[in-house]
Amino acid sequence: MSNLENLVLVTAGFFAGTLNVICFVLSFIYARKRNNRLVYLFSANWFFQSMFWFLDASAHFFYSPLLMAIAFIPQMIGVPCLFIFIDLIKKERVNSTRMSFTLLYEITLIILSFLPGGMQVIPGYGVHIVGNLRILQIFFIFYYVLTYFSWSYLTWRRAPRELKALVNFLLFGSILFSFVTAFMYAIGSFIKIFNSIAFITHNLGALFTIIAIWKDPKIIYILPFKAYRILVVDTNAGTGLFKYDWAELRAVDENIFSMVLQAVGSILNEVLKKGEIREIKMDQAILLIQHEKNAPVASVLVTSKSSKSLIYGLKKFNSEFIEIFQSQFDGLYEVSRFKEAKKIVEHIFDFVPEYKNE
Amino acid sequence: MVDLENLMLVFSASITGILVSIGGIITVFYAVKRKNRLILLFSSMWLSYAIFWFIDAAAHYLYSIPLMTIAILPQLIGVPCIIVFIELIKKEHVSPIKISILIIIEALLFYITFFVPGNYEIIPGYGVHNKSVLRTFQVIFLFYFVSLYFIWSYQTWRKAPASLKRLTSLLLIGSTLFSVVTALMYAIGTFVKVFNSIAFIINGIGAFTTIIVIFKDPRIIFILPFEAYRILVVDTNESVALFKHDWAKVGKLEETMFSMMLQAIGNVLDDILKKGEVQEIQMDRAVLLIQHDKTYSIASILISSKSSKSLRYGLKQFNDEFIDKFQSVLYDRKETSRFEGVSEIVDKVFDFVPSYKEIL
Repeated sequence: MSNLENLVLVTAGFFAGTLNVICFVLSFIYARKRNNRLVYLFSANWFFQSMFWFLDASAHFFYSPLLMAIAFIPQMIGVPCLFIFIDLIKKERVNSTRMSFTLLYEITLIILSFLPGGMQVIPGYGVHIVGNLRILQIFFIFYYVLTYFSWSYLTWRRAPRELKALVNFLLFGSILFSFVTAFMYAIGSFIKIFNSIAFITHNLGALFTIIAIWKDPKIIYILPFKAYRILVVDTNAGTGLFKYDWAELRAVDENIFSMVLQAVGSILNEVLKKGEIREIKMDQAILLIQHEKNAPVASVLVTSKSSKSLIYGLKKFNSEFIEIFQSQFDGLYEVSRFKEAKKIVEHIFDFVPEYKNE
Repeated sequence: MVDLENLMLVFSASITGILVSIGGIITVFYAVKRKNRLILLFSSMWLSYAIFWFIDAAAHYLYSIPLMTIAILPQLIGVPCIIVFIELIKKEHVSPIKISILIIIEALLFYITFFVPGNYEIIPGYGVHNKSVLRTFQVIFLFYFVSLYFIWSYQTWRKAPASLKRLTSLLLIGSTLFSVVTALMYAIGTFVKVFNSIAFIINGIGAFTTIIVIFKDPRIIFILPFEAYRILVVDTNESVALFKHDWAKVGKLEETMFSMMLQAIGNVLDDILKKGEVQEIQMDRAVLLIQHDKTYSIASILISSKSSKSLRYGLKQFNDEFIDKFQSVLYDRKETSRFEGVSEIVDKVFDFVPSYKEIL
């Protein structure tokens, strides 16, 4: 019976490690394909978590407290990667207080894990963490999984209809990853086999969330902003050339809009000599504006919040638009010529969630 | 001779403690008077630092290793306060990388100080001397902290307007004493111990100088975050400018045209998008912060190099005080001479904004 417990624990640890490797591979492939540094950070967490699980399984297999202490190191590297990823996708800025607290907590945990008295070798079972180290570790894991759960819950709550099925799966995965695991772990204090089940539910949950994100990465852009519309206007004639909507917005007379924008830009530049208008912030929306000196067009993106991804996308969109339609800027405005720009939008802004039928 | 070294060490540490605590107390009074939480952070650094110096002096006097060990605690509390202060005044947010590096160094320093034996040595006639790993980490920690302080004061000095140049030169001298000169003395102190005492005093004098300079003109701490150019009050119905105040030279402005343009963009955007009033217009090298008041159809506009919470908060306060003071005369807005008293509100609300008029 005792050896069976060890076997189950080691197998569960290895299985958890394998699931994390799959999570890492999926997220890494996507990051590489899109050259997305944010997703690289996300995949780094799963890489380090897989290292933790393999070392954890080995520590149980060899009954080695030293291996168990070493196992904590990749986990302590992985968790901040995930926290930074979540902060960056939520607010484009890392919360310094949370980061300082996490680092302090992690350093304490690592120091305690290498000090004597934190681990107990139970023959036939494995390495059991006890005392202050166990309490600190439980709080740490709670902190880690709850942060991930709160992000997926917020994403689920604010998701557009078209992504609802996927975010349900994301939420289900993160519930397995957090609450179900915690519940299994609690039962595991009395019936040890539940510890092994907790390992598996935890990592299956993680895999489900990764699959959801992998299937449609727009999920990670639900929280930072809600993009409404992109417009291209002719800055000489004050005419709207192209329009694309991601969300319901009032019907706009692009020509008036374009004329006002042009007039304000000219006056401000003339008066203040501080360059072109880049952003207009309103109570509930922001207009991002991208000009090109050598072409008479400006691209305007209406969104709920400013975001680096949107600004970068808008710059790229504006350049591609000019490159493709340069020959069409002849002062004669047959706007149907610019309909093809939809393809550029779909290509560059493929990460922007649509809210059209809300 | 040997006892003289101990006396010097105790004396210099105490002097430094006194200098730094005077600086800390002065800034606490200022912070409380102005309800400025940022300055409170600054003063907590110096007060913690003063505690460190007093315990350090006591440890040398009593030849006590436990006291020297405890002395590190207020220092570990104080340094993050000053780093957070510098970060907040520079960019209004704390760099997670800088604070993470500091936390890691502090955690390791704490562990080495309290859990690794053999890092202290009692030298009769001199005091408590720290050595090996602890000394290395302490040097790294101090170097990191004083470098950030020096960089901040150097950048402030470089960007200071003519009116604040003399004071910021003193700030730079103070922080040079506090950082580079102290480090040099400390290095010589490895061979000639009396230089350690000199390093302590120079460190204290440097810190005290920077505190006094900031206390004399707190606008110094707002040199880096932004350069405010102008504040305007416009009537959004009649497109008439009611008041204008300049902190720096900015393009010649036809206030009426400016007011009309703002009204036009506000109306069109509100009409088209239904997303509220325009709050901010960001240009390549400037930003327009706008505060509306619908009841009196007034808008206050602040033109600055960067957006900032202090400016936005000040603009709101200014707009409220303007309406409060002039609401009875707002019915006859064409008589702009009635609004001459507004400069007093500007001087009061924006007393932290440096003026760049003289150098242009």
